[in-house]
Amino acid sequence: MSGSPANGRVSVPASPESLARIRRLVLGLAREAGLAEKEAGELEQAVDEACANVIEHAYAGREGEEIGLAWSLDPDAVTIRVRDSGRPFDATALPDEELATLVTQRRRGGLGMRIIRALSDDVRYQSGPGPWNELSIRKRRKREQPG
Amino acid sequence: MAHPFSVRVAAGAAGTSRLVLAGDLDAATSPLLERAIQAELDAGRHRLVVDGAGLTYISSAGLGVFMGFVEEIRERGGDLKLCRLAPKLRQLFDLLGFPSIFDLVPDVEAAEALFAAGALRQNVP
Repeated sequence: MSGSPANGRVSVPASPESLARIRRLVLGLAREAGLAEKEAGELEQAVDEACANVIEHAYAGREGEEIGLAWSLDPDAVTIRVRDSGRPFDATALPDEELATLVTQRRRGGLGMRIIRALSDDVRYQSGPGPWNELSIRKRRKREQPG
Repeated sequence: MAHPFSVRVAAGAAGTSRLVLAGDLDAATSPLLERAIQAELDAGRHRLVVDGAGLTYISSAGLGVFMGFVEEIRERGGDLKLCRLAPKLRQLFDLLGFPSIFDLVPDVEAAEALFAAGALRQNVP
């Protein structure tokens, strides 16, 4: 880990236009931490989905809000915390919905948290006291097979 | 590296419309795809082949466009078939169960052949 500090944080405007920048940041951090390309891409997608949820649900598309991203790069894992000050909502408590159900209901949403869960090793939600909510997403570094 | 999203629409064989996608399809860019599909439906064209060879990324917002439209397309007697997805993207479609609802085929010709043969999937019961 040479370029990025092992711990850090940034704030970005909570708008869909920030998502490409967020993905670049996360992919860079994941590579820096030594995650394989597949795991790095999965973490990139999980964080993108979390931030898109914040923009659409926590802030309901309001402009002028921010998303906080904090990271810690450990020898065996990368953890990204996505923080907002919008409406508290624990999507981790929702059951996964079947694709067929979403399709018959003609819904365009409903897959985000399922993707986050599937692509992460650990997902935790915390909320306040105070106006903050945080989704913590952890991705472990795969150990090389001995041999 | 940023991969700007684009969607180009062209007439294909068997009365199909081919939607050629490139770049990152996410919550910022999915409205472009939504508008392109809606424009085809408004013009009475509902045999849609999505060519995803140029796609570099797809999030749930992009997947949601296909989810949200497919029932309406099939009600109109059409279908939406996807082809040429990169392995990384295909894995996500598989993980979420898309092959049980959508035809995902290797190339444009295979998709057009299914349309020519009248192989249209039915709405989810």
